[in-house]
Amino acid sequence: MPCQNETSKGGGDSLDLHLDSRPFDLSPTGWLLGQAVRYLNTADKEGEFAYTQVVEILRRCSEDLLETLTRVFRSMKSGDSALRWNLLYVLGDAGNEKAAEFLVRVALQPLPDAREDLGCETERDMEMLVSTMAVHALQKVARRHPEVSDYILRIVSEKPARPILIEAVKVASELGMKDKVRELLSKEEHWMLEIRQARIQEVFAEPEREDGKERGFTPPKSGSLYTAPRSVCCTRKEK
Amino acid sequence: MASCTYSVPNLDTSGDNLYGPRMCWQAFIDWAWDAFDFDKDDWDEGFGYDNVCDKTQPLSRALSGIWCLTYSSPHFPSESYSGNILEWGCRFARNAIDELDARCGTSSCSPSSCPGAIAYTQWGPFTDDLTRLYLPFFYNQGVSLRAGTIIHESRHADGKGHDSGNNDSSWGYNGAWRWQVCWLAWFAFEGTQTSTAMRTQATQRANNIINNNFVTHPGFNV
Repeated sequence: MPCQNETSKGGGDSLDLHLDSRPFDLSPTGWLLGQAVRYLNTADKEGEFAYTQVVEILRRCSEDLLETLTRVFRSMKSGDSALRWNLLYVLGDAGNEKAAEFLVRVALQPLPDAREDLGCETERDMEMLVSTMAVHALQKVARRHPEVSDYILRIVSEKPARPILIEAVKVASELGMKDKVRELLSKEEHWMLEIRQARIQEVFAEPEREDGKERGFTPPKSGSLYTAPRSVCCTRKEK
Repeated sequence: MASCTYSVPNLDTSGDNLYGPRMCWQAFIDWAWDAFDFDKDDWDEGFGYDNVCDKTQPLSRALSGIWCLTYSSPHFPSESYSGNILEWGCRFARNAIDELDARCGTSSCSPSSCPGAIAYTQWGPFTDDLTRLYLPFFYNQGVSLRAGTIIHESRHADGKGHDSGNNDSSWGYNGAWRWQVCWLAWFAFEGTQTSTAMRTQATQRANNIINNNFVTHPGFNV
């Protein structure tokens, strides 16, 4: 069956734009946080290097990192999941042991109800992604501050939604707490401990098609693939 | 006809500052407009038809997802079905999707709240085949996840629905969830010209789907 959702059938809808505030302009730490998420979303080596530098400054010099980050995070509530996910990523790299409590709370935040009538993917899936990032951020913090490793076990013991529970089980196992996790899970959940990491070659979809048929609307080539000569200028001055 | 409002979320974290300038290329826009059968009536009235390169508007954000779907494979311009789904995903999607429309779907979307469905596809005999993208598609998903959603919907447009409510019974069913997982996993593994954030989100979303949307868990994560 298809995932159901209907809106008006005739004509297009109309949309109005409202401009958003600038959440990173409130303090020097906020500005650094903004730089970190900016560099995290660049696609070159320079950006990656700049990200590690900003993270290092945040680690050493920003006592108010957690306070600043939680303020921005809470202002987002249930929208802009990408920004909240990025904030948690940075907290995983730059946060200290004090971040653990906050990350557990985010991981255990109740997800919106699953509503089959809405469609295949909904805001529940985006909130699930945010909670997943909280679990992995906690793993990174626990690697630097082993004294907070047990916080992962708190997530397991609270039995959140299955995808979050599985992430917590994986992370706890990687941190060497597999036996403790086994004690916290019911027998029916022990299979989660056996989930393996697939090789990428195993992860394939059957296209149920073969080459040779119409390819249709071949995309334009770009960059170095585009070998036709370029026109340098468009007009020639006549004397 | 419905009316809705939106507030623009952060353009770095959604990937629109990275992909937006790439999609703002007339040859690509001309191609994608025809290949995915966009229609003016479905993308005007604030959805971006009048300013296609404006990264805050839905049309630019949809085209960024399509750019990501088209050019992320290191094997491009090959789109062979004997390769992996990152290579042929766009070819399949543009041939399967009959038309791509923008709709409100929910009355408003802002950084403080963006509820509701992300996309919908209808197909079948005596049906007007179409795929609709709603506000949360544009404003509550990063670019790589938008590309994954387009792959998911294209599997439906090809006539393959889910066989257990909104879930697939198994990995072997070869349905929309498996295809979305595979595209996201390959994007994270060998996608080009992208960021750490886009890759990591893709991996985590793929695992969330594996752990949530198969009645019989396949027994692995990516």
